[in-house]
Amino acid sequence: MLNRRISSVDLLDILESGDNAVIEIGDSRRISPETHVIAVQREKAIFFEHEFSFGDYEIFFRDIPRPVVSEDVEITTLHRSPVIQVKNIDIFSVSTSGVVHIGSGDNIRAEARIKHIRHLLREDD
Amino acid sequence: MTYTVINEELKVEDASITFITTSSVFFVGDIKTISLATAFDSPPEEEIVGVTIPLLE
Repeated sequence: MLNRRISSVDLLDILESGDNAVIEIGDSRRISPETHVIAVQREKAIFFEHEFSFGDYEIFFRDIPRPVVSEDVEITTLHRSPVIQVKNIDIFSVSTSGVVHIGSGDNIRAEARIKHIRHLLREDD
Repeated sequence: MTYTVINEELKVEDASITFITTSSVFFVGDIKTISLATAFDSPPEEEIVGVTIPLLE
């Protein structure tokens, strides 16, 4: 277990954080943000309510191979200074499973799946 | 294999970021493992699909 340090933040200025964003000053065990997006652009911008569902697109349930950490490596970490110091961080927007984390952690497992669809009018329309 | 990491000082003076989005992580600190995965699907034929919905005038 990493010996933890103290997170010290002077100024963290975030203009907008929403859509399930996480802002953490401190330590964590596991961070696993996940994003599923269907982005539809239509030349004739008419949209109906129940049009697109994630289940219809294989990209959202196809397995993504992950690297397997198999090396037998033993790391000892010594922190000369017990502080993680942040003076001034300025962020415009954190959104769509975005994470800001000032502190120690064990592992991050992030995943994003994005499907783009464009509906253009045919030439003869 | 064993090795020792000696961290001196960890200090961020100034950082300025516009967008952190779609499972992106801005991380200041110590971490053991990071695994990132993205699947992106924007096939060209999606571009030329005609509008499948009735055009309401």
